[in-house]
Amino acid sequence: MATETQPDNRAKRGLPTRLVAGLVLAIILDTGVQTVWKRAAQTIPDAAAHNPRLALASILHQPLFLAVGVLIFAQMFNWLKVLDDADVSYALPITALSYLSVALVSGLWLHEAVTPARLGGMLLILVGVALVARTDHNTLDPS
Amino acid sequence: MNRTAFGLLLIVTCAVIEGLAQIAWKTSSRKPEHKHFWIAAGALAYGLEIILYTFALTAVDVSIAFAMGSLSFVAVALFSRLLLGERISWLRGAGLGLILCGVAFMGEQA
Repeated sequence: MATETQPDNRAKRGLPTRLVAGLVLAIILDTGVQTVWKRAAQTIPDAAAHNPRLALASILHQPLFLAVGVLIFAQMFNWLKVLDDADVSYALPITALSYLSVALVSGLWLHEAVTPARLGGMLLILVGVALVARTDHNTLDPS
Repeated sequence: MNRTAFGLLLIVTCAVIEGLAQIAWKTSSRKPEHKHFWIAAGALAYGLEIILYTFALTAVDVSIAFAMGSLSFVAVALFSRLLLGERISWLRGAGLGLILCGVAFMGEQA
């Protein structure tokens, strides 16, 4: 990876409120997409794995898949707004926080196990995001 | 090439495609005169990625696919540096490294 050896001397520039709201919304929407998608997929009968017509019918008759589509569209719309204000190499790593939120929500809603090893991975992600968040959010349009 | 190697190749390809999709969407905010073109290009790339990723999941375990999917963070950092000129400071690079390790750790448990 190409790196910059100069100090990040614009790192103290404040984050626009719109950007913070956009990043929080991106994490919430990502969490919603993943957990609702998983929940919707669980409603598809096992027989659909070898029967594309049954799989398609199951998807069309499950309103949760419509909810997934709406959430994905909202996610894309919000993400384009986020990229108006931030580097993509800044914003995308911040959304790695959704790995944490998805694990927590799936633990609570879908009763999936949150093991100590998984918690360790979450901690690493949290520290990594904290480091990225300390860098300048927009190196292309200095102001 | 065996089936697993083919699956891994597909996942790496997906990471590259996702990196390019993100660059296209970022470009849409920097070139308003061609905004819709770049948004459509990014969306098409994501559509292609979903298809390839689905094929990849038939060849490799989801825990491996999940962890390797985080390679898209590297692809985005690399392409944003090379194609857009974003500054990847050592702090941002270190943060990315920790995120990759964390996702790999979580993927191991998937």
